[in-house]
Amino acid sequence: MRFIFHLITALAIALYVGFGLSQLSLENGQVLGILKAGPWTTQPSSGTDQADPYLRADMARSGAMPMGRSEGMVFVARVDSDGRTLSGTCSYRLSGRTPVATLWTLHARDTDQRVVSSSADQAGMNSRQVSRFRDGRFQIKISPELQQGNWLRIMPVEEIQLILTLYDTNIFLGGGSDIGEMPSIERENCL
Amino acid sequence: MIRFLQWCVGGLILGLIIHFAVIFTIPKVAPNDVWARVTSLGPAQTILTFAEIKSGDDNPLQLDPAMNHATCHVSLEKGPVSFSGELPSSFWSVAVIDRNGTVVFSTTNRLGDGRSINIATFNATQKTDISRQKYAVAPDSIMIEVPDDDIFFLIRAWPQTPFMRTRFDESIRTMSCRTLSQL
Repeated sequence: MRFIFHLITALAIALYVGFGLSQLSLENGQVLGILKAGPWTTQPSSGTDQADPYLRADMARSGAMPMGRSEGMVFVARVDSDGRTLSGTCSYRLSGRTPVATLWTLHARDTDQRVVSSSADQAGMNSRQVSRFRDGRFQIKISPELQQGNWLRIMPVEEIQLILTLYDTNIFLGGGSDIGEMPSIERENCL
Repeated sequence: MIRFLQWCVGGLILGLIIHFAVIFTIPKVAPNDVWARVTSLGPAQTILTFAEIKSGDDNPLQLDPAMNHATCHVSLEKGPVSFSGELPSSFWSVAVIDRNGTVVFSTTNRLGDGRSINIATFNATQKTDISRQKYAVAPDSIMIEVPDDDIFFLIRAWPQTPFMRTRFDESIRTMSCRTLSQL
């Protein structure tokens, strides 16, 4: 009887640890291979043969299209600069600069990979349509409500992620891991 | 009590083994990986354009809504494959991706004249025949050896304005993606 109790306990621990740890390590990005710059994260080894097993598993599970290093780099923000989860019911001010890139684009998605942003008649914004300050910095208002200036409209969903894609960028050109300046994301108010 | 703790430690070790087994198994069994999604779009050796991603649309491939996307999946079993044509005069990139989702090669419109591209892909077995000029490879081709017979090309092209999307798609569809003929 005691043997069966021990066996069931050990199996329960094994299953809980085995599958729980797998779920945890693949949720909201990976434990390994992530680089952070303020609220932004990126996975430089994504889509390369240097990708770690966790990244490979996550890519296979999500079915996301990889991007080559010479094409560009995708940054994801799930939190604002103060670490609070981004919400579609709040207004944010995205400001600063990006690392050098031929082109960058910005859009928002929800946790089910649905695009939840729009600007003019497109689903996002890009570096060519953003008006800038004299020093080259820019400011984009991300909000479900009408805003002055550069406005990325978002749907009032519970949780959003911002996707900033830098095309033809010089990040990591020298082989280092320094990303450089990335825009900050400040929360202004919520509905 | 010590016996019970020993069983717990055994459970923990078995849990870690299960964890690593799960992580290493997912890429082999995932039903909706990028290869499955791309091959479900249409036949091989055909340029397949993706529908525009609009606000509110599901985006399982996590593509950039700002871009026009097109793909062509091929197998190198019958011989090396050539991907060629002219791309729109704007920012674009082309990637060669294997069935595991690894980008084998990628480039942008910085290449050459910024419009035309010519890529010849081959596997290790076909390498010798390529070097002996047994296939009709265009002289200005970028030669890419790929580790897997199943690959796809992905084109990302940026239309500066939304009304250019249709013209970009038409232009991309004229590109060629086919097995090279033997000389």
